[in-house]
Amino acid sequence: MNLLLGLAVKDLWRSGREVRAHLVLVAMAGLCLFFSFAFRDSIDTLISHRAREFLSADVALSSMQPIPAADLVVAEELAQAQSVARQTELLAMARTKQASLLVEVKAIDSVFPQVGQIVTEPLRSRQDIDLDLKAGHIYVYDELLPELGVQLGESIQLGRLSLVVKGIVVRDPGISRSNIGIAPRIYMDQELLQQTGLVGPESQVTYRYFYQTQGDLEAITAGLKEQFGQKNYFVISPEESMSGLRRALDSFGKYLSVLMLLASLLGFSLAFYLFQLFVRKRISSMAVMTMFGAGIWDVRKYLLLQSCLLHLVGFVLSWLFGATLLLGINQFVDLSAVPGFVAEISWLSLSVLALLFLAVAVLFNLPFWYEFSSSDVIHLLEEDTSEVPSRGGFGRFLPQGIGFLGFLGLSSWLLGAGTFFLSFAASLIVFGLMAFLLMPLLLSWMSHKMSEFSWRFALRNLGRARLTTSLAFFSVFIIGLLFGVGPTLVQSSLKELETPDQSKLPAYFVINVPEESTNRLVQFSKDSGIALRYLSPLILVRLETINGEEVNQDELRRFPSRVTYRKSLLESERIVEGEPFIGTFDGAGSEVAPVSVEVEYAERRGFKLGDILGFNIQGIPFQARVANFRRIEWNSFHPNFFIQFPDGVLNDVPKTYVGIVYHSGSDEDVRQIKFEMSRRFPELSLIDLGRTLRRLADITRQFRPVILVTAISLVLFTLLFLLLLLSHSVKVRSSEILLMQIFGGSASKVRSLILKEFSVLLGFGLGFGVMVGLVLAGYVLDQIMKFQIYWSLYESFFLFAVSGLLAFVLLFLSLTRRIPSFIKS
Amino acid sequence: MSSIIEISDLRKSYPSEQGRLEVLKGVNLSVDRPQSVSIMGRSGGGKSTLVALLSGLDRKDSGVVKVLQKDLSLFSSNQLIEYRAKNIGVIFQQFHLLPHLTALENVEMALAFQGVDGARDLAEKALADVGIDQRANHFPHQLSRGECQRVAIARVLVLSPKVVIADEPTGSLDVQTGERIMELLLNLVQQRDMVLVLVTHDPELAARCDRQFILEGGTLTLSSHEV
Ligand SMILES: Nc1ncnc2c1ncn2[C@@H]1O[C@H](COP(=O)(O)OP(=O)(O)O)[C@@H](O)[C@H]1O
Ligand SMILES: [Mg+2]
Repeated sequence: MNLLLGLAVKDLWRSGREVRAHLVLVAMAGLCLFFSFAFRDSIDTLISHRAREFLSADVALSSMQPIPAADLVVAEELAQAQSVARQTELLAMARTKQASLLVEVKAIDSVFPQVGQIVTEPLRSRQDIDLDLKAGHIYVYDELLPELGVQLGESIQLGRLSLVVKGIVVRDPGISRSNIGIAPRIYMDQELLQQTGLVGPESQVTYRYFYQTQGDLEAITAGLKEQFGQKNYFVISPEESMSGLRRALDSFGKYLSVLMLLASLLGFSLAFYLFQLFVRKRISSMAVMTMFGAGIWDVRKYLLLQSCLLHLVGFVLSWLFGATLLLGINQFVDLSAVPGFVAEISWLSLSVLALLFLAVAVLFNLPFWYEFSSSDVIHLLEEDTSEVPSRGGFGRFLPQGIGFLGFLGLSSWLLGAGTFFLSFAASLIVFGLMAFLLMPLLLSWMSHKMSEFSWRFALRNLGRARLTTSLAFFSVFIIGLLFGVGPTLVQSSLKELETPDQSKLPAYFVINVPEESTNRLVQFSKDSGIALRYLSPLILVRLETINGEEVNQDELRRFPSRVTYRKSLLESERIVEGEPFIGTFDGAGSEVAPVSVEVEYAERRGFKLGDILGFNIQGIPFQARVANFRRIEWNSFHPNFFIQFPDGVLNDVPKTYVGIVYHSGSDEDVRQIKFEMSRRFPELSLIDLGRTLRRLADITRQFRPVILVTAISLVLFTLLFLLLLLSHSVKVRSSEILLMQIFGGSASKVRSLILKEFSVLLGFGLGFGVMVGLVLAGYVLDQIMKFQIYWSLYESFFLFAVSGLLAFVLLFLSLTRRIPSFIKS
Repeated sequence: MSSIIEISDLRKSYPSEQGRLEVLKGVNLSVDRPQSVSIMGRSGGGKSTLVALLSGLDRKDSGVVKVLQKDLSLFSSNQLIEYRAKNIGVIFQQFHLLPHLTALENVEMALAFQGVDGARDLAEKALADVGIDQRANHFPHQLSRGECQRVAIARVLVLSPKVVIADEPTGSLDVQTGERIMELLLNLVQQRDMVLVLVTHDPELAARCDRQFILEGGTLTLSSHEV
């Protein structure tokens, strides 16, 4: 064993370049996996460590109606509460003499928050803050001051009260800092809120009770849910409080993972290619070893040792690289879009990664083990480096097969998508069959049809059943795949994050427009020269039954759904499935009314086309049939609704209106008119989009470089691969090329021959790859990331053409350099 | 008659750890009519080096190598490739067939580079000449070593070179097969008025050539067999 180890190390040490190239490849491939793992781990840590802080307690009970004292007693008992904090929350318009602004009012008691803290500026202790609040002062988010044109110490009007702004909240529990909160927050005292007159039977207030407990959280949550399930109270665990953020981060993580996984697949494939070249060169020396007393198992051990050593070093390298990069990310990248996010990797993931490397090391050996058992030593001795077709039938596809399945398993685990696993597997098995069965047939058929020898020769070269050719093809295919996937994925992700064109953006949303005020409001906007558009009715309904069965989804039962009716679709909507509405619904023939549902919403709720939904509209039961699914372009900022009826169905039901105001004037004009509007229509709420968009833009700014950098480095990475691949395959053939020279193949003739061969390989491989990549991109975006797809066909084919050309030039150059002029036999 | 091969004072050395290793120290050879010439010598004596220089596969240090009155060292590498393909055929001990081409295609390849019309027919005929037209569509790994060498010979002869150089062509064959291959090669070369330079270990084979040389101590001397 020691002897073998010594030999193996020496052999590796002395084969310089090849081994280095292999190491770089596996280290980079490993790095890609490292990052996929790290991202997952970081999200997990964020969620598990931050969730309590996020919720500000261990568990919470929430309701849209005041919760009776009796229930509170029960809840406190069930939660084994050590302390209870109370918070009342609502949206309202705050006003000063010059301006008005929608704010999120949080009325708290002195116990809140039980976990985490409220950090203010100037910095105050919790007791001092409490004293200020009790004295009728408020603490607010900083962006509120300039919007309302007030300074610390001045007061703002909230309902009936005028309240002095005592300080700024820099950090507080909850999501709205880090996410796209609709409105800036105001903290005030519980008792004070009652005096504002904002809390009434009409207003949409959320009552929350927070519990701190030492008990078993899961059991407590379950107990509370069980107890209050019928009463329309919401039980929120820390995990649930972060589910929105988790969804957003998961989407992003999936995007990264898709790219990273593809890159690592590519890296490992090429590493395998190099490894088998490396081994082939050594087969005869291994055969010699067997002649001097080494058994076939010793030879296998020798190979295994080498590959384990290589991959161990590869693993350590990717670990070192990765860890350094993680440190760098934490240090230098602005991650404030997701507060508390720390890039890290767990020991578990590292062990999984190490195991993966070991598995790869073993996997890389399999074809040779197979070969050794099916060949005699004498055959191995004869092997003239890499030019001999490998033996062993299907055995040599074993590692590719296993590797591929492993890759799929890993992908579906990282992406958390079982269907992804299946459909990706299916599509690639189809591809695999095409490549491995049809391609040789196609090539040999073509080679028979070709009259010109050089083309026949080129095709024959490709058609030979060689591992190298299939691997080369596979690598080119993967590159093509990336080119197919990449641009569409990047484009769609960027679009998803993109801030829409400012000029197309509304200045603000108008909500809570009473039906009787609509005409006056329209007149007002005409007079003041602003565009009030998409004025849509908003009706609160409750979904009670689906196909006659009672709805059992908590959310649906407890909260009313907001629905609308329209004559036609908005520009930001399109039907993806089912029939569009035709004209105004008149209920003739006692037909059930059709309803249109947003496609993802329908998916989450499990609605199917044709389902009969039973609504309760202000006490009156009402049925509708799901007629179509719509997809909504959310960043158009139109008043879009998940559930939408045709005109004529709900026209007589009491409702309010929502609309959006477009405004082309200066900021000051906007402020003026907005203020005027809120003064004349005090019952309206105006939601300023500037704030939301600034947050969006912030997040986009932070994520855009990450996406671009991953995409660009991936493309560079693949071009590097391509170069490596080409120069290696030419090197492998140098003896063949020399031979051709003896028979009159001048450099230019040989070059043109090889170029022909590669043009076929590149053409087929890239073309195939781009096509499969596009399908894959569509699938990933649509099914996994739930993004809208923006096809980037031009970019894909542009990359296809550029890389083809580049590969050609590189090949041409490396051929010119490599075709040796002289040999000795 | 004009000379076909003319080598004078040919020298070649390789760099080695103990300074330069002089392999050829002034080789002279002149062949002025179609005939067969054998070169013997101990292993490592420089035979393959001589073959490489004579076929323009390597560069000499000094001296002159002319084939059909053309000094090979004056050619550019592309010209050399052209010239060699037309006039010089090389047969190796290790056959060097392209593994992924059939016997027929291996021969066809040589013609293809010359842009010869009707390459396939010519290739078939060449295979028939060496007696393996039955196996034209087999790949090298499906052929015996003797058959492989026949293909290699056909591949060279199909181009009708004036000079055929064979470096131990039977070295990796058993005695009987080697015999038959040599018989074939000598006959074909004779029929076609070609010059054969045969490098061999085997004195019997060497004896069948018109002239016999020994490469020893870096120079070429006529063997004692020559009358
Ligand atoms: N490329 C080379 N570099 C260094 N030395 C070489 C090279 N080729 C051959 N030699 C040396 O030149 C000598 C002659 O080799 P070679 O011509 O192959 O002999 P032969 O064919 O007669 O056995 C040998 O000692 C060999 O080691
Ligand atoms: Mg020799």
